[in-house]
Amino acid sequence: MTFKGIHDIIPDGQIELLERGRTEEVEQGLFDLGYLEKNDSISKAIVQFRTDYRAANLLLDRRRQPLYFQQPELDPVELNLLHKLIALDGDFLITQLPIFGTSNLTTRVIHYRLETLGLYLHDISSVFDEMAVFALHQLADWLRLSKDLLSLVQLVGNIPALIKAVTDGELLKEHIVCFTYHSPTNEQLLLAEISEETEEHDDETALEAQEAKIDASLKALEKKISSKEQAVIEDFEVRDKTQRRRQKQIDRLRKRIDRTLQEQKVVFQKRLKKRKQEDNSLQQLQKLIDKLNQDNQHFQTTIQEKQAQLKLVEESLKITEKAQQNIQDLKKKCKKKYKNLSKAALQLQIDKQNQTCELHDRQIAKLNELLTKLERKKRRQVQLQLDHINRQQKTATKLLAEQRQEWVLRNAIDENLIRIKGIQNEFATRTKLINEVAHLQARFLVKETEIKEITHRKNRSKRNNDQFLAKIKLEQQRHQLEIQTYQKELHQLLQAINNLSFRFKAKLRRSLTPSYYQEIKREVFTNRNINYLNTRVANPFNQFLIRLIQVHQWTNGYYYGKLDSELRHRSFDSIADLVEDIPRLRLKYILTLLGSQTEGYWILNVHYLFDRLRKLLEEDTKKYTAADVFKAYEKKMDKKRHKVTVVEEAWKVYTEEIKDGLRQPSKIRRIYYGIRSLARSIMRCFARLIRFIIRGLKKLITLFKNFIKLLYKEIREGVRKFKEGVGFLFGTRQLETTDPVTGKIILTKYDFDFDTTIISPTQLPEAIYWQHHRKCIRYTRNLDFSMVLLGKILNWVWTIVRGPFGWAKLAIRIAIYFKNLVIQWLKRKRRTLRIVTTLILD
Amino acid sequence: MPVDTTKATSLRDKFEKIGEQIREAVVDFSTLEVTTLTGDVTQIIKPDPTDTKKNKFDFKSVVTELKNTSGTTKAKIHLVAHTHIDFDHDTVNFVKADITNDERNLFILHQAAIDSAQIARKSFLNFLKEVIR
Repeated sequence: MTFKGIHDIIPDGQIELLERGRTEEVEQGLFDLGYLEKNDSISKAIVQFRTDYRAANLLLDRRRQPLYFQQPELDPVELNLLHKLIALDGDFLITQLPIFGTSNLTTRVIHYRLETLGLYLHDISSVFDEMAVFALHQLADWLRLSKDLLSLVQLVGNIPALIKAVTDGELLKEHIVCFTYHSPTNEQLLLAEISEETEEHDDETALEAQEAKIDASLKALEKKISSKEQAVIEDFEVRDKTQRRRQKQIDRLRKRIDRTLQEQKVVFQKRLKKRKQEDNSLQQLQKLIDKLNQDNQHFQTTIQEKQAQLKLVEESLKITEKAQQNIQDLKKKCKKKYKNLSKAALQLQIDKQNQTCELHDRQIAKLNELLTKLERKKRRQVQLQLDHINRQQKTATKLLAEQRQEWVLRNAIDENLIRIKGIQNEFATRTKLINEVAHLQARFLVKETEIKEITHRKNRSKRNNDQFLAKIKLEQQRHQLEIQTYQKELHQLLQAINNLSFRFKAKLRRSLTPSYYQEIKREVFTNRNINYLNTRVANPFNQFLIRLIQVHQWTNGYYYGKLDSELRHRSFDSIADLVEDIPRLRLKYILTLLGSQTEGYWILNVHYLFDRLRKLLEEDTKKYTAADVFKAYEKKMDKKRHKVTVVEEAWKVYTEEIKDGLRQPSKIRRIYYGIRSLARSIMRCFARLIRFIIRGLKKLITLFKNFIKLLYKEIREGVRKFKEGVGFLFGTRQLETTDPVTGKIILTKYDFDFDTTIISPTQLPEAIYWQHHRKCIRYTRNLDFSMVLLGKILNWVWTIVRGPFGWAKLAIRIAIYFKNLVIQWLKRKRRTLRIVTTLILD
Repeated sequence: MPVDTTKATSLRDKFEKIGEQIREAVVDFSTLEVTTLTGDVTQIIKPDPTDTKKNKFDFKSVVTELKNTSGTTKAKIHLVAHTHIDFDHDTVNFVKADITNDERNLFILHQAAIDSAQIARKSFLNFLKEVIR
């Protein structure tokens, strides 16, 4: 269940960064215990691992049910168990020997331990048989121990105890470690230190006194250098702080200037924009005024034309009226004529009476016809005149309408004129505004001058700052020169140590029995008997001791190369690193080179080396845990918060290095995931590690990488559990199991306060019930400490409001708390379980 | 009433929501209720709009169905067992009479659920303890 809000607490990119390398960490454990071969699938290996640890009664709940299963990845607690199983610090006690012919988790752990020490060359997953017993018996023979297999099994799982047992035995008094080499180092000083000495006798007391004196000088010098360095670093930090403060001030000032400029720019732009708009609107108005004037002229012409037309119309009307009058007159005349014609007809009738009535009639008819024609003609004329009049009327009406339109237009012109006046007023206002803008521009110029002055001051301040930095640089160079002088002194002292005579052979003489030393002296130092040397090199016990040194270097974080019983370049460097961290131990005391600088044999005084290592363990009996390391780191880094990037970079380099390393034999990198020895080594040279971080280390030493691995691993696993808790709180809290055959779903819904509702369909196969049951158990049991961790983290996160509390600090706290929580949780589990295999907790 | 913490986007918002619910005593830690239901529940399985291959079990529909039916068998869902545990461990158990073999398995699941709910609640109380501390 993922939840986006997680980024409120963990910065972007951090989860991805933390997740790097987890697969390799899981794979290494599974490889080591033989669950994973080169091309195997990891999920298959996880299933087998779960089956085996379940059979070993590990990680079960109170009902003896497994806590983790069906998850594609290993849970942080499972990963913790896996790393404990492959740890070689006595973390995992085997209290009962496996039965012959069986293969289980215990047999795998035994085989793995023996294989790591080069005593078992068979398949780790094979059954427990006489091969493993033979390896254990051989070890017992070498160390002259009893052949109690169980205690031998414990011994091979505890490297510090094994070294002690090897040192305690008398065997080392008759043995030197011998190995061939091919240019293991090019450092001339180192080669000079370990070159063969001629003498074998020394005045031990005098030499010890001399050595102690040199040691004291060295210590004082180192202290001086480191305090000088520390002073430089602190000075840098103080100056860095001052510089940062100054830079902050400059930044603040720059921001203020930028802001003022920005504000001025915005105001100016706004005003410019407004001015442009005003200009545009003025142009538009001018256009409108011009258009209106044109319209006005046009209207005036039109009015004149219309007036002329009106006159014509008036004249036409008069003509019409006259024509109407003429018609009336004509009508009257016609009537009169008609009357006169009727009278003449009657007179003719009377006068002629009997004269031609027909003629009269014809005449009358003719007259009537004529009259009709005349009437028609008159009517036609009248009609024509009426039509003409009507047309003229229509034209007049049209003219009147046009006249009306003209009046409307005139009114519009008047209105426009009023608007123009308004616009003119507005124009005046805007002109005023433009004047104001000009005034503001003038003010802006003043401001600009002010800004220039500020910039000038800023530049001056920058110049001063540069001068100050140059001064610092000079001081730094002076310090550098001082340090160089000290380093020269240190170099001289180291040479003085090298010049202390007879240390290797004298020490070897004291470490070995007189007869054996004489044999070595004769065969090796005097005769250079190659056959004798080759026999020594091929001796199985010699091989075992080389492997033991390699494993010691590996478990203490100085080495993470191949475990192959061959001390090559990487192993050699790791010994040189280790010697640097162990007081009163020098490379020349334990190692000498026989032959040329490129090829030959090495002789290692293993007795003296192991003796020093044993004494170191006896002096430092505290059982350090990862949480102790993180607490110390938190305490130191609290003051140096700004150096977190170095750690992040180191983690990236480390994860890149281990990537694909496991599955490619040529690039194999074996990483040790035990805690105890590693934590002890880290704590022993903690100050040196912190100095590396503060200096922003470029070349990463192996121990530093191991420290980073330890830190990031625990932060990552803690964050995983935290995410799990968040997933519960803000998820759906609903679990479903589907029957693949019928598609039926059984569901369990948890409320926030864990009130529970189960809803199940009828006739569900019994297996589905149990599958669902296990799912619910896993879900609720997993919350056991993820919720507590979540609560704690939130408590811390809320304190961020009250004080400075970045992710870096929070991450370390998560790591510490997670580690402690896992320890407590497993302890609790141990109390409740009666398990055959006991888990020792760090 | 179930606490809905899925709508708030930031972690702080979500915790404020939880805080409100706890303050308002909506979250009842004094009693523990475990309910087991069975029946024909396919009607409340809806296709998941985000994934065409999956079906989504809509819990709210179940509750609605139960409310609508007022305990009758109309929606073909019936109660197999219900357990109420008081703060002082006084416990009331209801188990359906004449349970079938199928329901017997469900009853065992119910009993396991009581156990795990108690453990999980303890985890949650530990969470609260750490937050308040």
